[in-house]
Amino acid sequence: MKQDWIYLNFNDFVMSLNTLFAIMWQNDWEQLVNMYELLFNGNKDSVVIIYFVSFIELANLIFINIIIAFIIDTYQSIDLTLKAESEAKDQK
Amino acid sequence: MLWINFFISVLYALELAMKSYAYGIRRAYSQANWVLKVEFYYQPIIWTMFFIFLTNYSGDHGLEVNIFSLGILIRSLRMTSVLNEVTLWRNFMRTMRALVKPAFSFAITLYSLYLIYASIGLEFFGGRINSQEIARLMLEYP
Repeated sequence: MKQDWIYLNFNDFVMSLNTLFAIMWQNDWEQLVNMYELLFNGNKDSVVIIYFVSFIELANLIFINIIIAFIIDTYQSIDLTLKAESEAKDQK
Repeated sequence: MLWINFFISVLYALELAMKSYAYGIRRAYSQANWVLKVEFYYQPIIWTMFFIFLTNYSGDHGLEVNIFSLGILIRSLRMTSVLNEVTLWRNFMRTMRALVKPAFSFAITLYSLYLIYASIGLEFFGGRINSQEIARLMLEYP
């Protein structure tokens, strides 16, 4: 366990928001889950796993992908309209 | 390093002088390709030479140099307006402008999810990580 992981804690509200933001990008989240399992001496593994995995499912797999898909879709539609405009100009 | 910079700057200044003599400054600047070249290529050189001249002959007036280097920074930031010439960048900025409203509603939804999970985490894990616990974890699970 790296000592730096203690900075991703839930001790106050701002730090817990920070921790959730770090988990959202899936950067070594197994390490963090492992640390929180060790904090409870392995007694509450299922609750910890359900908490973190459900957050990753919701925040990363659904929300981030929706946002990225939305950006790509808007970009493509704008690109197509601009191309059509330029083609119409060329024909004139 | 300063002398290498100075030497290359002199060479480029010579090139600039010869090209502007051959083509004429106004005609050279009016062409789009030349605008890019002059903006990105020659102006930094001119400003670099000015800066070297200033540092060599201004003596101990450090503040003057700082003001002028700030001026160079602002001047180089102004060059980002050239990015509007690139179609990809223009489309990208248009997309970002169109996305402000829907992205805001997405951000509100994501933030409410964050609030729920942060409050649950605060109840469940809050205060568990302290110095004693860290010492114990470091001993037991190195």
